[in-house]
Amino acid sequence: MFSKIFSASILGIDAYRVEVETDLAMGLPSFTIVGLPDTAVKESQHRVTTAIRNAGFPFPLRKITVNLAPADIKKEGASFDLPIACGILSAFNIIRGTASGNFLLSGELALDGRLRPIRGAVCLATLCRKNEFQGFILPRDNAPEAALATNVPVFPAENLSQVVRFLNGEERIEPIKVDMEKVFKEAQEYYVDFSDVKGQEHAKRALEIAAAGGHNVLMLGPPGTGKTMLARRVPTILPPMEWEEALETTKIYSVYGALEPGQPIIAIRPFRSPHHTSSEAGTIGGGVFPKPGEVSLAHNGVLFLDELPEFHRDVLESLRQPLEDGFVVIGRAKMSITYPARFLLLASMNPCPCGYFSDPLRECTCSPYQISRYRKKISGPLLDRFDIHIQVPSLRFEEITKKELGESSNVIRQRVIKARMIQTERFKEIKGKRRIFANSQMETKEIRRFCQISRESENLLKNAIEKFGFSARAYDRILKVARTIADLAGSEGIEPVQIAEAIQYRSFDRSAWQ
Amino acid sequence: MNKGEKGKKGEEIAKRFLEGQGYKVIEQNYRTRFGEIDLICEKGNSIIFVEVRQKSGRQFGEPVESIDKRKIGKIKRTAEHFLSERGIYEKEIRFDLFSIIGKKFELIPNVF
Repeated sequence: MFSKIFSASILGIDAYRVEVETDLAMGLPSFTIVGLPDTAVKESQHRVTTAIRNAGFPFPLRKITVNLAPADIKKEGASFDLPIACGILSAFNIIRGTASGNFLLSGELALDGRLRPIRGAVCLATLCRKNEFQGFILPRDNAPEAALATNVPVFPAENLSQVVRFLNGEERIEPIKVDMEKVFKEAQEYYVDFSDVKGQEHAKRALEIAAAGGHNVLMLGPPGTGKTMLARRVPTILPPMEWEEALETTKIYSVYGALEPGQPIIAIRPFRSPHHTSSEAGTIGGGVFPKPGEVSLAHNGVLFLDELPEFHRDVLESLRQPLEDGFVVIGRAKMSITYPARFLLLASMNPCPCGYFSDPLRECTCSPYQISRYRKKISGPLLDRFDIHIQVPSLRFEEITKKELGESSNVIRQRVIKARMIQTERFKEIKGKRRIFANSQMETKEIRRFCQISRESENLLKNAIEKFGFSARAYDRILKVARTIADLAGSEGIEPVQIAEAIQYRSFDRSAWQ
Repeated sequence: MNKGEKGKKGEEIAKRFLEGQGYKVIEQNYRTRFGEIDLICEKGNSIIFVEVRQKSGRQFGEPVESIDKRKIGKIKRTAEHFLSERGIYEKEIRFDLFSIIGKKFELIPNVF
């Protein structure tokens, strides 16, 4: 009267195997789940009991003990319903034989025995290795995403009785077939394009540099000049996602529960634009049951903070760690969870609270005090994380009504890919723990090595520093951006004209814009 | 007819019905210091503890509703006492409710 079923649970975005052991003993009927279950898992006993009865099976009047091993990790969520139900039915010999031990099971049960979708199916699927399991049985809605991440057959199930018949060999379930390459290709379409944006050539150029070198960008301009529109199109000029990147991003979405049915993989670079009222837990990740935040949902894509000064200060400051490391660590007393969070940060802000300071057509109604207070909301260290600062001014009438289209995303993207390839080649030989992919990740040592400049350029920089009062950190940033500009131009060394262009992207550095 | 007599009559109805269904009544009004069980029966490999509840009409709620958590606890503890006293370990255990409303009655299996 004992059975063992395999299931899995998730920590961060990684899955670990859970053995669901069920014992039926004589005695007063009772149902106990042990093995550090949270509330949702404990409640599972009511769903399981009802689902088993409503699926037409007798429920054993025994002393039922279910153990979820390993017992020292907290189990959360409703995905243990199906394995627990199958464990009971197997111990009661309604599921005959030992076939049930060859599969990985996961799924939430409805009271009538139907299966409801679960979160994190992709992560669970990565646990299914060929020599360990014959298949992965899970709710039908989750099957496509799971099939992308494993080479083991994935069996989409409708309800509990179907699973029972399947495990008893009375019914066949067709394992789901997914043409990975086709799905991946089809999902790689963007619905926006850079050619939609009229004018703003200066900003487009800056965003191209940002995409090429992975530089964070701060856009400053009056309302309605296209800052958001520009930001939305940045993912379209980034290099297309690699399979591995897509899988990683998909895992985060799956754990978060944001994968839409019919969208098994995130194959385009995500664009996340949290509202400025977002909490720290919502942005960075966290909560009582830790969930990934916006920074992780933007993994391998773009995080756009519209109205930057309106964000809560602690939210902005907590961005600094993921910006440096490419992941976030959510610490808890008993464990810490890591979510990947490597993203390109774009931010926009108005030049003043009313928005029209420096606008050629409308008058600003803010006092100098209001303006300075507004700008002070962005701390120096945070401002330093933006390599490129650009102005996005109001458009003149001729520019708005211009007929010809701008450059398409595809054309820009080709240039970006080329520049990225140069960088990959350059950083290939750098050994050590820290891997560098783009110019923006260079530290002082690499900057000194890869960003050597001529005497002429040196003079130019010296003048700029003296005139604008740039800090030492700004100096490094200019060199990094200049390196990317040179890569885009395909030149080996950094030319003075490239330094000059990089300098203008610091135009509102701390001392210069107050 | 006072309450005690009325209760007694209900239990007699239940007993007759159960015996007609093939149950063997092994205890009636089994009392311990934890509580009381109206009827204890045996059928096949099962031991059934039966609580008899009656109502004269529906205006004061169903008999099922009149059993609260505390009563369930009492019955369960009494049942445990009974099982260990008799050394019964290898039987299936069931708790049923025999509900009487006016002249109608039914046996509801597995109430808790």
